[in-house]
Amino acid sequence: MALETVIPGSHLYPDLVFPEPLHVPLGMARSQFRAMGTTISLLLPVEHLRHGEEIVRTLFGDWEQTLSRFLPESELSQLNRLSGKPVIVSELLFAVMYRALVAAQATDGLYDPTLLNQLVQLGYDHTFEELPAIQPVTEHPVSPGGRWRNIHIEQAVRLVKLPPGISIEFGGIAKGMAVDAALECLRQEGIHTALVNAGGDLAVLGVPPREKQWPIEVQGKTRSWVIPLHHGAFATSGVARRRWRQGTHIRHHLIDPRTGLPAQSGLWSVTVAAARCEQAEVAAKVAFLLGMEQGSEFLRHHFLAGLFVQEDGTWATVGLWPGEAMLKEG
Amino acid sequence: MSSLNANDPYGQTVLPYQPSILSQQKKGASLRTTPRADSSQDRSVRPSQASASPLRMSKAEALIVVNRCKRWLIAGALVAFGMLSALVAGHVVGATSNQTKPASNNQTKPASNTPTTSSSSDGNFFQQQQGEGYGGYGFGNSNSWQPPVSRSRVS
Repeated sequence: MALETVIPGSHLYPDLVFPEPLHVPLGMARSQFRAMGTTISLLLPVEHLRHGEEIVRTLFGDWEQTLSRFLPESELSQLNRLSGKPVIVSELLFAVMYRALVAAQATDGLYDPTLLNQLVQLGYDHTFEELPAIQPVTEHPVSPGGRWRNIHIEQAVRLVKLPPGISIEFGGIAKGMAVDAALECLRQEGIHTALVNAGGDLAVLGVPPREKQWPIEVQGKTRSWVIPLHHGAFATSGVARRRWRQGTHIRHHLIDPRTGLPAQSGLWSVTVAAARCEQAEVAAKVAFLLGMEQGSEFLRHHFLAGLFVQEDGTWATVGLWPGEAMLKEG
Repeated sequence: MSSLNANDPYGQTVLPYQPSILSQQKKGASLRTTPRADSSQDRSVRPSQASASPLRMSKAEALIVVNRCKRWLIAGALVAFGMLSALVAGHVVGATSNQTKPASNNQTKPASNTPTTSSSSDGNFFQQQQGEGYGGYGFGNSNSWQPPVSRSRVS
C-alpha cells in the first residue's frame, strides 16, 4: 500500500486476513465493549452473560481509569507527573508496577515499562485512533531504556518513586493482567466457563459445554491458523497495527530498550501460549524483540510455545505448538 | 586470780572497749596517703567492712548491678530511639501521602479486582503454574478443523 493513501488514524498495513464471523459455542453468548484502547470480547454461559459482563466491564473500566497514559487524570498520569517524588499509590497501580518490574527483571530489561518518553519522541503521543499518519521528526536523539532499575518501591506502604524525568507506560502487561484478573473475578462469582479477549490477548476458563477446547484463530501475515486451546492464554505482539510515519521512517510501537527505537527483528508477529495472559503478553513482546533465533531460544528456556511469523510471511513454531492440521488459508 | 563478773552469764571476762587495729590503720592512712591511695585502700577495706555488716553491698556486687543497669539503660535507649524513629517515619510517610497521593487513590478497589503482589512466581515471572497438561497451558485435539470462537492478533 502506498504511503500517500494512508488514512489518518488507521494503520499503514491493514489486515491481509479478513476475519470471518466467529462461532459461538452452544449454550454460550458473546458480548463486547470498548476499554483500554481496544475491544474487549467475552464468551460466557448464556445464564451468566449479564452478570459476567457487568463484572468484566467494571473491572476494565477501573483499570483504564487507573492505568491509562492517555487520560490526564488517571492515577498513572499523575504518578508520571510526580516523577522524582515518593508517591503512595493504589493497590491496583502498585500491583501492576510490581509485576512490571518483576517482568523487567525476568527478561533482563527487554520488557521495559519506562519507555514512554521514547514512544512520545517517536511520535506516539496520542491514542492510536487520534494519531496523525505522519508525525514530525524528533529533534533530540532517542535514548535507550533501562531506567526501570532506578524505580524505588516499598511494598509495605505502596510507595513508588520514579527517577526524575521518567514516565511509565505499561504496554500490554496491564491488558494481560486485566484479562487474568477478569477471569479470576468470574471464577470467584461462580462462573467457571469463560473466555476474555482484550484486543487479541486472551485467556480461558474451563471449556464450553459439550466441547473439549476453545478453537482460537491466530492471524499471521498471509494466512491464519485455528489453534485448539484447552487451558491457558494467548497473546500476539507484532507490527501489523500501531504503525505510523515519522519523517521518512516507518515507526511502530514495539520499542527495543537497547536502542530506544522500534525493533528491527525481521518479524511480523509472535504469538505465545502461556498459563497466564500477562506471561504470554510479555513473552510475545520479548520474543519479537529478540528475533526468530534468540526469541525461539527464549521461549524454549521458559517452556512456552509460540508461533513466529516473519516479514516475508514464512513462519515457524516453538515448543508444543500444534501442527498444520488446523491451518486455515487466509 | 581472775575475778568473775556476776553479771556475765557465760563467765567471760569483760574487757574494756579498744578500737580495732584496722580502724586505727584506717585513721592513720587517711592522714598520710593521697586521695588516690586512699581510694585504692577503700577498695580493699570495704569488703571487710561489708562482712562486718551483712546489709551493705560489696564493691564487686555493686559493679555488677551498675553494669546490669547500664545494659538495661542502653537497651532502653535503643528501644526508645527505635520507637521515636518509627513515629517520625510514619509521620513523614503520612505527610508524603497527603502531599503527593493522587486523587484517584481515594477510590477503594474491590480486593478481587486487584492482583496480588506476593505471587509465588515472583522469582520466575514465566513460571508455569501447576495445571492440566504441559506447563500451565494446554492444547486440545487438532485433528479436525473447528470454526474459531475467538482471535489472537496484533492489537
